[in-house]
Amino acid sequence: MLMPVPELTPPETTTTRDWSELPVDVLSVVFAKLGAAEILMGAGIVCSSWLHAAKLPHLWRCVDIPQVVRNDAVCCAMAKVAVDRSDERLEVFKAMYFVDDELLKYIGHRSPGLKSLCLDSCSMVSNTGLTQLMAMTPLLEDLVLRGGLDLSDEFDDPLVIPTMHQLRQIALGSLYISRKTLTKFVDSCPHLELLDASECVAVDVVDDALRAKCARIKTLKLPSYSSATDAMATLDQLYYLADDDDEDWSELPLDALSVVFANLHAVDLLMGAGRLCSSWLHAAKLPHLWRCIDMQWRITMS
Amino acid sequence: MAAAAAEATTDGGGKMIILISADGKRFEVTEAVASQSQLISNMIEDDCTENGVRLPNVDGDILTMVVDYCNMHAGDAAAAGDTMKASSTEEELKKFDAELVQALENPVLFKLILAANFLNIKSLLDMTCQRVADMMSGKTPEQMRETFSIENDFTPEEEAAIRQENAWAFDD
Repeated sequence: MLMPVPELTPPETTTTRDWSELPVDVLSVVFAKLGAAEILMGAGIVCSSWLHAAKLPHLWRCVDIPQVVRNDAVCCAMAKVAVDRSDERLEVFKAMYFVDDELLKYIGHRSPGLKSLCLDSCSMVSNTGLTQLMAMTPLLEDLVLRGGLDLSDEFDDPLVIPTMHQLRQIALGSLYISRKTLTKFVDSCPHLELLDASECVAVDVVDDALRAKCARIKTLKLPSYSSATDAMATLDQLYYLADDDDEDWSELPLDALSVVFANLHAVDLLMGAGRLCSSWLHAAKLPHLWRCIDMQWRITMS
Repeated sequence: MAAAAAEATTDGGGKMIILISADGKRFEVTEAVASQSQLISNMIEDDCTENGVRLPNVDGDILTMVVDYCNMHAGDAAAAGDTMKASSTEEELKKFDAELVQALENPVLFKLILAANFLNIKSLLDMTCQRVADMMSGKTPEQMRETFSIENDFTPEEEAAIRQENAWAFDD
C-alpha cells in the first residue's frame, strides 16, 4: 500500500513577494537596463503587468538590436515592434547585420524625431534606402555607418543626400568611400561638427577642394589614401588595356583570368581587377581564389 | 523645545534626523546621509522632520540596509571637495556596493527595491534594478516566471495575441 504523499509546503507567500506587482515605474527602471531584444523575447512576456510595463513608449526611445538570432526576418520583425512601441518617439536606432531598406522605410515613416542612427555591417541597405530614411528624419544629429554599404558612389545606386540641417556628427568605418561621397556629405550637412572617415578605404585622393569645404568642420578625420592608390592605378591601366582595339581582355578565358587573379593581393582584386567588367567580376568571385585571404593593408598617407 | 533632540548637531556638522521603520525601529542619521533620499530631502526643505520621519512601508531590517548604504555614500558626497579622500573611498564604495548587491536574496532584494523607490534614492534603485535585470538576462519567459515565482496570468486570447506579435519568442 502506498504511503500518502506528504503535502508540499506551499510557496512562502509571506516572505516571497509578488514580483509581478513591482510598481510600473520600478519595472521601467529595470527594463531600461535590458536590451530591446531581451524585453521583447523575455521579460516583456512574463505576465500581463510586465507586458504593460514593456509597452511604455519611453523605453523604446533608444532601440539597440544586435543580431540576437540567426534569422534576419525575426530581427526585422522585432525591430518593427520596437518602433511601434516607441509611438513615434524613437530617437536612437542601432542595429547590426539584419537591417534592410524596407525596415529603414518603416522606421522613417514612424520616427520623425530620430536623432541617432548606427548601422553596423548592414549589407542589405542600399544608398537609396539610407538617403530616403535621412529625408524622412530631418532631426538626425548623429550618423554612424560601419561596413556593409558601399559608399564609393561609383555604381548604379547614386547617393542623393538630402540637406540635413541638424546633422552634427558622421562616423564612417570599414567602407569604401570616395571624394564624391565625402563632398556630398559635407555639402548636405551645413552644421557638421565631426566627420570621421579615418577607418574607410578611400578609392581616390582627398583633394584641396574637398579639404577647403571641410575647413569649417571642428573634428575632421579624412581617410588615408591607402594601397587603393596601387589598386586604382592598376584599374586605370586595365581600363587602358581593355580599350585597346586589338585584344578584348574582358574575354580572357575564365581559367586564364583565375590564374592571373590568383597572383593578385585580395585587396587589389576587390578594389581593382575584380571591378573592371562583368566577366572579370565573375572570375573574381570564383571561390577557389578566396581559400587564402590576406587582408594586410599597406598604408601610405596621402 | 520638543524638537531639541532632533535638531542636535554632530561634530561633523548638520542636523540629525530620526527615521522610524514600520516596526518602530529608530535610526539617527545626519541630514547629509538622509537627504540622499529625495523624499526626505524634500521633507527637510519643508521643515517637517522635527518629530522624526515615519516610514510605514519600510521594515527595520530593510531600513538598516538603506541607512548603511546611505552612510557609506554620504561619506563620499562629503569628501567630494577633497580629491585624495574621495578617490580612496571610491574603491571602498565599489566593494561595499558589490558585496551588498551580491548578498541580496530574492525577497530582500524585492523589499529593498520598493524602499529605494519609495524613498527615492536613485543610485540605490539603479543598483538594485541592475541586479534584477541581470537576473532576467538570458532567460526565457518561463525561466523568469520560475526565478521570480510569477504566474502566467494571460488569458488565452491575450496569449494568442502575444504569440502573434512576438512569434519569435515561441518557436525554438
